[in-house]
Amino acid sequence: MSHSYSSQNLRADVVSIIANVESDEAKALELSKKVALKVSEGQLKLVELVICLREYITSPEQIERQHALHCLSTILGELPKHTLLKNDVSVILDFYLGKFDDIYCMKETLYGLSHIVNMKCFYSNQVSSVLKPLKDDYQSTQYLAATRYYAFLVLQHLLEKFRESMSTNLPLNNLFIETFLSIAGGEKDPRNLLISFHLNSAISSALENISQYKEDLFDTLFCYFPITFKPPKNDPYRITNIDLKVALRSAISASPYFEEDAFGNLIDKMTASSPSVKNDTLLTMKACIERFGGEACIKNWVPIWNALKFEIMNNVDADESVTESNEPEFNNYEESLRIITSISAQLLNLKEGAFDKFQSHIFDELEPNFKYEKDLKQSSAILAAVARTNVTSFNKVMDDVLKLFFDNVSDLDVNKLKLLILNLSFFFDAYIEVFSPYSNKAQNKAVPDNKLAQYKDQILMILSKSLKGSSKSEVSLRTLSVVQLTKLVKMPGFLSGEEVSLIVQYLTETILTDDNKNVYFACLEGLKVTSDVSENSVVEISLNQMLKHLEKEGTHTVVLGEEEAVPVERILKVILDFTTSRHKLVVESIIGISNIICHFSKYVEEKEYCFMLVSCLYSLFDNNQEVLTNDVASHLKKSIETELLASSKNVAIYSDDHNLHLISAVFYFLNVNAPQANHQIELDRFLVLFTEDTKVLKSPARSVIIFAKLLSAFDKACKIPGGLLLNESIRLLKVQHEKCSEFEKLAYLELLAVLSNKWCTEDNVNANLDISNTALIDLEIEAWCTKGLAMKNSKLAETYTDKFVKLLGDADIGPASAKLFGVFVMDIPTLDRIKGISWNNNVRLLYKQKLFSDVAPKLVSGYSATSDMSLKANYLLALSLLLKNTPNKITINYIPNLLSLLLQAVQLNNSDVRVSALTTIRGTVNQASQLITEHIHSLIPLLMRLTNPDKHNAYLVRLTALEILRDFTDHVPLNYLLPYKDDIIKGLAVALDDKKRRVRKTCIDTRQAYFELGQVPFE
Amino acid sequence: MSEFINENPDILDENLLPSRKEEEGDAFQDEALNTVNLLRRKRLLKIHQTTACKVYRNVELIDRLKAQEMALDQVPDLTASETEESDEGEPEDPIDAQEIYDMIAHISDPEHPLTLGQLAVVNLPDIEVSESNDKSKISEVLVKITPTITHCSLATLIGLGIRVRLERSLPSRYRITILLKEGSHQSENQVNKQLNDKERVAAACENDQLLGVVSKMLSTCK
Repeated sequence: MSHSYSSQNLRADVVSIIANVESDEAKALELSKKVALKVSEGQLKLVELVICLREYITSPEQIERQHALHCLSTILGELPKHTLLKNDVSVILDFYLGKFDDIYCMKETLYGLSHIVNMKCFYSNQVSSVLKPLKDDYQSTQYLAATRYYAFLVLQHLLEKFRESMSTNLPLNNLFIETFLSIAGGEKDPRNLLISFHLNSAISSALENISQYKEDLFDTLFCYFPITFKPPKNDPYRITNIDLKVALRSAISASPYFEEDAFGNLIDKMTASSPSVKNDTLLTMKACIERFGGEACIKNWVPIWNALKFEIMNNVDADESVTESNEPEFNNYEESLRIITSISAQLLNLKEGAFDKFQSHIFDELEPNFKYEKDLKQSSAILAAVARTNVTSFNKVMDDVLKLFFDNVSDLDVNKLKLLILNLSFFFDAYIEVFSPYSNKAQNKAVPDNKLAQYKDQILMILSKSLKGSSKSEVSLRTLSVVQLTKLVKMPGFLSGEEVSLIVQYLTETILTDDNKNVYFACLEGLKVTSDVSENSVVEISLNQMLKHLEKEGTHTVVLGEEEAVPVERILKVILDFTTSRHKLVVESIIGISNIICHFSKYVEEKEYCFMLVSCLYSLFDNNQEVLTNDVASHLKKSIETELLASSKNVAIYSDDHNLHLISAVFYFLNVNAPQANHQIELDRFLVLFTEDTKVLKSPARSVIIFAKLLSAFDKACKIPGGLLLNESIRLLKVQHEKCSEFEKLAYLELLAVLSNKWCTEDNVNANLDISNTALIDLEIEAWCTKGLAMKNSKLAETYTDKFVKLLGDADIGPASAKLFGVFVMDIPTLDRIKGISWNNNVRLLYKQKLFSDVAPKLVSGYSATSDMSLKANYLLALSLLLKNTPNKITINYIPNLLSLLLQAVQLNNSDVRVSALTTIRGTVNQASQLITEHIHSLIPLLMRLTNPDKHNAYLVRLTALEILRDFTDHVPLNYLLPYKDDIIKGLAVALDDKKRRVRKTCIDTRQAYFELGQVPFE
Repeated sequence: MSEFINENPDILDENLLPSRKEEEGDAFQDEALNTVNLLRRKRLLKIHQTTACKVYRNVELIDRLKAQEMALDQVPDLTASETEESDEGEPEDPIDAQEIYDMIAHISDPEHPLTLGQLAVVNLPDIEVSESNDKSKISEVLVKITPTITHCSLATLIGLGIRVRLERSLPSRYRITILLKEGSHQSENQVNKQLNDKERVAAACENDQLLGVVSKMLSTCK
């Protein structure tokens, strides 16, 4: 014995392991590892360990024997596989085999064996010595599931290790299979079943002489079919129903030897009424077909087909049930069809003759359906399922089927037309499935000749006739034909370029003239799909045509074709909708619309038209940010910027607030997306243009809004005399604000916000402002500068917000400064964050939170410090303006302190204040109703008053008050609410006669909620 | 209910039931809107379909800021305790047949999982509203229902459901009359009498079980 690990130590460890086996498994395992390490390092001999354990292993107490054996088995498991030499293994093996008669220790014995068979020095000639006792002396039914598990484990390890030698040694091979059959019988435990299925599948696919045992092997599987298992809570093994199903399925389909039994039994199961059983059966059948091969299919397809046919034909509401339930668990109809495809594939692989027989059998059976128009949909689906296997099958089926379709198409009524198109669509899908490999891989590989192509003209004619020739009220027919035309475009190699163009033309005309939503969206989808396939044809035909309409008419309707008038709004809507993210379409639309704007901006009477065009242009930029890469933006800048800049001075745009504002945003988009490397140059150019040429900082000019937007677009790292610009702008505002229109004033103020945010230090700003000024214009200037500062979380902002809070207590200037609180947190598009761009403005994500947490407590304390109601109103107004522009999740933390103010605010004579206070209350009800619950006694009468018509109960006040009352029923505990039920129902009767329909509607819903409050749920 | 009287009624698609055209005016709540701007907003909505887009936000913001700028030096009286009579400037949406239809078309049939609208038990042309200009006078609503079959024993229950729904939803100045459509039912007169007899309706509503059934019918209302 070595020095470091004495027998005392060993004994101590062993005793400790045995003591811990049941109570603390982790501890026992840790100690076992330690002992195993000693053995593998040679400090301890296995013999010594066994000797040490002997007295326990031979103890008359079965518990003691179990624990001791478990200890030994665990240590064996922890040993590296190569540690034990040949002799050791054979001794320990004999020892374990000798324990087979001790039924109390069977679990530990098998556990140990499962480790021994994995040892390196366990050889193939020893396999049968393990198998024999397992087969003869081990009665699986006597033992618990945990014990049986190890028996399976032993077999699994043996099979993994000796698969080769077993298949060359027939007696061993047979012995193994017999042993498996003996231990697998009657198994019920899910974990054991899982391993049993895996073993079964491995045996039947890897071992020899299966035919002798095929029936037994199959029976041990199929008696479980269809398997269902509901895992208990806290299942340590985490076996799911699906695991078992899949394991069983792959075991059943593992070997073609099962063919005879499998198909017969599965077809029997098809008659099951439960859809889930059926589904399992279908999936298993499909797996079998795919694994067993063509020969098996030849033998069995007739009964399979008959069973499937029954299933498919009787599935009356196949599509409804699928579309209605959002996520169908299984779709047996589709699965059945897939099996038909699998059979065709197998047969075709084997020989064409077999397939021909199969196909003609099916076709002969289904043909009468076409004559008598019975089960047409299912019949077509079945034939399409056969067709979609590959090119050969496709052509064979088409050869037969298309004749049926196109035999008499001369005079079809609407319903027949619909049916024809619907049924054809199955074959379009089949075409896509068969031929899409030809389009994906190599362009040079042309789609081979096919039978459907021969009927192309007829198909196109029928579809275009149903679209163009039917009345607009035939919504479903028109939608259907649009959808199928789209499908034709998707079919690889089916249509020629001209035919695609023709379809685009149809779709464009339809989308512009048809008011129905379904048709509209079908067309839109069609155009989008087409632009995936061939963007050029959509640009050339669809977009150019629409742009031409826009060019022609300055008035507000465009005449298309002979009689139909298309409003401009509609064209612009279509352009916005179908360009989404399509690179070329976006660029071409932007350029096209810009040119039209340039043209019409000269005429003062086209202001409205320009407004529509500019708003559309804005959205083209805004919706398609991901298209506007540096390159695209440069290209667009080159093509349209100069012209647009010139036309922005034209009367229809320059003199119109909206138009000028929106077009300046377009310049923003152009420059913010342009390459950053050019920003300094561009910025300098615009600086000269606006400060020296146009001199916007010398006397008021409307174009300063463009300047402000441009400045916000450029990289904030660019150099610019920020302090000077700020100084000049402030001076202009102070001196000439009387001359400014509101629009100009706002534009200059926005410029201040941008400058103080990006290009001025705090000192710059401070130097230009005088905190003691209280003139209105000074306050405005300060408010906007503060906004710019606050957005970058500047310390200085706090100084100024403090000043504004203080001014609220001033009777003269208080109301005005209260109004300016809205400025601080208002989101202005000029300082918006754009995804992926962080270098243009200093906008901190959490600036609102900081500002709110800073200002709100001061407002509360200011409010409570005064008793003058008109001063209190200032605080309330300021608070409501802050709340209005601050997200609910920020304000919710402050609600407990603010609630009393809010209750006051809803009584102020200002509907905006009321709305914003109510909106905050509503958010609180929905997110933290416990804060509200204790106040409902005061809230309910207040809210009821707010639902009545009154000068300050604007539409939104009444609506929100009603919504809050309704939300109470979801969030406030019943016992709080019930006492008010009758009062509320009675009180809300007034709002039933509200002037606004939506208020009435909400009132009805609210009252209904209270009528049902506390009612016992029916049934 | 184990046996349906009428197992396979004709069903209308829910999306094809008569409904109000997109309510255009609904999105605009700004009081500061003048007519030109209102027109523009409507145009924007037609092009962009939603008020949630940025361009709409932009236009709204310009208008709002301008209005605020104009009103900045005015001191509003926020605290005076007057309550003037309701704002006269607000346009009124009258209660019309479509509104009545929307109230009752989504009531479920007691024996099918379908609504009265889908089953064409209630139809838009069979609803009449006679609105009195003077709101202190009585106005009238007349609804004619068409049972799915002439011997429908549940016609009374359906009528009761409609009556309960309308009484809960309409201002009290309305007199509600519910009749079976002429010739649509074997015992037309009896049912009509029952449905419009205040006492009998009140008595029915005191029956908890009946009220439970009615509640279930009303639970699908939108």
